[in-house]
Amino acid sequence: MTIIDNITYGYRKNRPVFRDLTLKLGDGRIYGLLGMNGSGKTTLLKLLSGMLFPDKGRIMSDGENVAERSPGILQNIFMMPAEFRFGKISLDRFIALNSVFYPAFDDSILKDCLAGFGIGPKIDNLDRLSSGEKKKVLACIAMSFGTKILLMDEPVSGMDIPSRTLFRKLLVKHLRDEQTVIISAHEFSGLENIFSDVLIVRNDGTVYSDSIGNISVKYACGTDRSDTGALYSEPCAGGYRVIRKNISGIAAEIPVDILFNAVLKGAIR
Amino acid sequence: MRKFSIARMLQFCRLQLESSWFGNIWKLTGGLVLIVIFIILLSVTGGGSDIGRMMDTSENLLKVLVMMQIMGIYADIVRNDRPLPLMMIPASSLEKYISMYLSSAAVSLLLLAVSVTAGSGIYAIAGKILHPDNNAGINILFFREGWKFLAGSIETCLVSTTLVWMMPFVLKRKRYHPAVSCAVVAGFLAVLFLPAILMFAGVIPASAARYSSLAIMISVTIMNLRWGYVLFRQFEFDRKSND
Repeated sequence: MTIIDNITYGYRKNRPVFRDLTLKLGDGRIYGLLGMNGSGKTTLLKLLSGMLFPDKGRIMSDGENVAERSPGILQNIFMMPAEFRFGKISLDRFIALNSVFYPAFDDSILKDCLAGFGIGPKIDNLDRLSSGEKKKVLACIAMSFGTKILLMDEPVSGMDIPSRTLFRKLLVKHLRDEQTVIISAHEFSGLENIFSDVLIVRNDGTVYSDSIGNISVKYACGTDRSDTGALYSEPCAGGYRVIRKNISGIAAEIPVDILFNAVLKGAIR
Repeated sequence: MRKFSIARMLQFCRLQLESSWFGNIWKLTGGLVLIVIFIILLSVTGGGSDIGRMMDTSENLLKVLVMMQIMGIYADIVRNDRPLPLMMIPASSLEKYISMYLSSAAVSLLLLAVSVTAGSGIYAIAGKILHPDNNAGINILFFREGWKFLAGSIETCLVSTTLVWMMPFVLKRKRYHPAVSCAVVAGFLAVLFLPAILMFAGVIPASAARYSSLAIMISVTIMNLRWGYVLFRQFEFDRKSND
């Protein structure tokens, strides 16, 4: 269990990105972290990983303060950045030098993921790969390290559509029961199908958080000629796409894109 | 889990050296040879015919190079464009901090070896050309006078440890009031040069100034190490991007 306990963080004084934010992140969940550009998605991931320190409050992972950056905490956190440079190094060397720090590293997962993406295990210079291939290789490494918390910042940007599907399948296949994954994404690229929960960062620094299961019981989505009585509506070809309160008691499917818009517009609080 | 492990510290040191510096040792050595040759040629062309003066200049320039490389090693640890930033590697801050000095020592030793080999060779040739009648033998760069090497090493340690706290302090200066930043730097320099100032003012004799300088240098180096560690622990990757 990871607890974000009343944190405030800002890059400049008097302009906090997050103010008094409190969240609980459960084990074995896949969180979709959504938000507009500049809303603070990467900042939240960096705070969770211990790269940044909250100005106020603390982030606890299994009872330990993440900002301590102790070896025990760091070996349970892997943050896959959106932009990175491997440098001139072979995959074997990279794995040999880094995997010694991660006791849950599983070479068979790495090989399976690489094979799944159609990438050979022998890569002499990781820097020569295309940006999409680099993302695939790092995603494979991230999955194979087996950390309890896996933070992925835009993992599929730069990947082609079949690779995004493969990424989704491989992540679900190799995810261990106790692992928590937080995936930040700008686009809705098929990943929403694997989210068990959503975290939507609003521009005012507040975060909407709920499980897809809860949302589907609370709200219903559909197309209607009229938007009367709807919590949120968007014009579409047949009238309106609307979100209403779910009074049937039967779980309904809510597309993440309309949920995202409804949260940002304040229709869902 | 233990907060300090020598094995983990050495693994971290190996990770940094192999992925950034010694990944291609021959290329690195070649680059260092070229830098050393450039520095020595610079000293030779500007040093008249006095080989001793030329060697002094070369040694001073090479010392500056050794002092500066620790900044490169520090920047490498705290940079955030690696797929796995070194600060996020599961090792304690103390292990990373000590490893930084170990890596710096390893690079310095390589630089020293290259300087001594290439530099002494070039100066032997320069000596034969400038003073063909002089058969005093080969002067080895840095080891011409034993005590000077020791003094130079202490000086290099002092400056290197100062750079280790000065760099994050200057980078994060906006966190402090400008007056605080200036006062810290001015206070540091005042303490360092206090014995010399008192000596020139006639307050203390030269011998007392020498001993108090030594005591201050040792104290300042210890303080540098301590404060450098505090700032190193607090280093944040606060680049705003990809939100």
